Amino acid sequence: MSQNVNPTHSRMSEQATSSPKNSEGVLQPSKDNHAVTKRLQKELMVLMMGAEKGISAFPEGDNLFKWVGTIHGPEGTVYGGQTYKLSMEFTNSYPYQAPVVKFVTKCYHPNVDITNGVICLDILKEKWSALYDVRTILISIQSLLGEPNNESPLNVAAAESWSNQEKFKEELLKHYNEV
Amino acid sequence: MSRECPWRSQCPEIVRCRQLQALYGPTLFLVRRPGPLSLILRASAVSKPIKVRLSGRHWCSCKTFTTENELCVHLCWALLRLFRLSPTNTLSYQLGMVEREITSILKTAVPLSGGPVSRAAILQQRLPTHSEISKILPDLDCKLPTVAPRPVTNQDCCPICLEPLLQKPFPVSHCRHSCGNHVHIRCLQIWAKCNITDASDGLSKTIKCPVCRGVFNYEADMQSEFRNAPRSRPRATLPPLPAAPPDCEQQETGLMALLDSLLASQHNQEVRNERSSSEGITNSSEAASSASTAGRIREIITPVAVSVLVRALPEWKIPPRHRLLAPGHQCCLCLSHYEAGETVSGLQCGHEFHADCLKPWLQRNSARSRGARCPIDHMDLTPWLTERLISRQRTASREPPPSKSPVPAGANDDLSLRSSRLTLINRLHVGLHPHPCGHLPTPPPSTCSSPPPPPAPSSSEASRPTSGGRKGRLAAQQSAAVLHMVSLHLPIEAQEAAAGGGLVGGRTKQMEPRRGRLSWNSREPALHLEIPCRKISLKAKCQKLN
Repeated sequence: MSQNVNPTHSRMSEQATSSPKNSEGVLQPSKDNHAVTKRLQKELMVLMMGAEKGISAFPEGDNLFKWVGTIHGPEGTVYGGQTYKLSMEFTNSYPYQAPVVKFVTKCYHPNVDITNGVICLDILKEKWSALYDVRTILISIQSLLGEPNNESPLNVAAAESWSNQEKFKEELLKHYNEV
Repeated sequence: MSRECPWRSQCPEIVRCRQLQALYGPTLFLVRRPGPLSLILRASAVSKPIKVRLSGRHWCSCKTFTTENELCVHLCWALLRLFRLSPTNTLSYQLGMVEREITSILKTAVPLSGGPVSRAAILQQRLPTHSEISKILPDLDCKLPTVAPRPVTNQDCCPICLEPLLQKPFPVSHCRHSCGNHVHIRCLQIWAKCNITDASDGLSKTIKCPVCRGVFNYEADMQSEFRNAPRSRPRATLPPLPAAPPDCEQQETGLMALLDSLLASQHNQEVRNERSSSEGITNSSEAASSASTAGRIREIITPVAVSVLVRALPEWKIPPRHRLLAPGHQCCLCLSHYEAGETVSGLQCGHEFHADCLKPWLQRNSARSRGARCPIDHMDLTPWLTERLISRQRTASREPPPSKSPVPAGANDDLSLRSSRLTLINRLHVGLHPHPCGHLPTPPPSTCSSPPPPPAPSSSEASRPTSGGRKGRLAAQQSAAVLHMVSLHLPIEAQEAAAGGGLVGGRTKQMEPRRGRLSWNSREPALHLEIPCRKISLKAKCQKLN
């Protein structure tokens, strides 16, 4: 799968890799680029027009394919009052394939890799649908903070300490750096 | 204990279909449960409530059950969804149950073979997927029930590209087996390539719906739908029109030529009026006023001219079992499928639309697209429509007696009419270039942008040398021809178009030319449209008489 393609190097990587998806000519980057840009612009408009509580996102610099999202920890959970930054990278095959979303701020969470910020969330992997957009992804991640899936943890230590919320919060604040 | 209804060892096919419909079709709502076995269901908020009773002989108040006396969707829904019977359980398709069986499904809400199950386990029990059912029932060659497409409203947008659906004439497809939501076919084609389930379940491949994750459609059906959907590449073209000179620029359409000729004569008229009234007006102000009126005329005349032209659209009713009734064919303007008996218009490029959708669309978009164009591939339809209009007019004019003709009777008139039509045909075909073998003085072959040759001296008042020059005179002649043509249609059309506008009354009573400058009022376009028309046609008549 050519999911992690940098749009600027997409042509090169497409020539280099010969995955079945590419060989079918399904996702022509040069052809889709305009459509992707258009869709991302629409999403940006929606995000800026409707003030969604607790989440925000904006492209990083001039590159519309790389966004920075911000999530406020859901109130009433151990993450309440904290702010997390995420990086979102869109490929040329967006929205047919999910963007690569990672935590930039260190996040101590059962389903987040503490070292590189990789998120284990089904809608970013096999349950992805073209219907999802930046807003819904951020809302899903926000709700994931409060309701982790402890059965398939990426951070085993966090999953084990989740039952003891006070201890968990202590551990969490050790890793948390203010944005 | 004897059964009220005979025991069935085989599930009838119709019941299997209804079971599938109950499992995967539109959900029903349990409104009330007056007793443990008597239920009141509803399909939607507006539909009639349906009473269902499970007993020794099941009963339902719906029409299907009362007429067929066979398990209906509601009973299947109650048995499968509410009492969680598996479709493989023999109890799920019996017409009635004995007391022991009823107690067991009430107690456990699972099949007789299973042990008692906790409430949590029941809640977690998921429905069998379509592929699982097809494994259990390999003989069942029954596709999923289809759902009706949701009506497309102005707010609806494609879930993949987020573009509003009704804004552009892109064909759509709807989730045929789950939610009925619409998606652009061009978006879906890419989506389908990434989201086809394997054919390992023995069934044909299916495509996942991007909205509801249900079965959007079977791949084979989908491909035929893709093939049938209107595309911007024309599939069938009518025999080409007589070719224009090869060096002629094709952008200048027949309609624009019509407008330009009107414009040129209007300019002449204005110049003459202004010179007669006041000599002190400078050339620059003339040019400015003519440019502004040019825009106005174009704005006003194009929709009216197109409203005349749409009369020539071919229309036909869809007969039963026509190819347009196959899935995929759709009117790209309202995004709905065709039904037998609907009136359809086919265009020169091979695209079809509802006649009721196409005509308003062409009129609405005429000013922007400079004439009548196909909504899908933007093919210019003006020459084709003009040709049809003229040929229709020609066949019609053979029949009626001369007294009923809107043109005043006279031998000269008849002749001039015929010649003017020919001129019109020529002119509309070659754009701004008069046809070399036409009735007009042949100019040297040149491009549209090249300056016209100096004007030839003329006895007519209309062709006073102006900035328009020979082109102006030529245009006046041609516009006379055009307006003969248009005047045959315009009184009726303009009456409709302007809703009480100026162009009423017989042409013979309007022979008096009006004095003074023309005033332009954008509120009543028809009134002002009529003024230059009449003047020019009058003028042209004088010219011909001279």
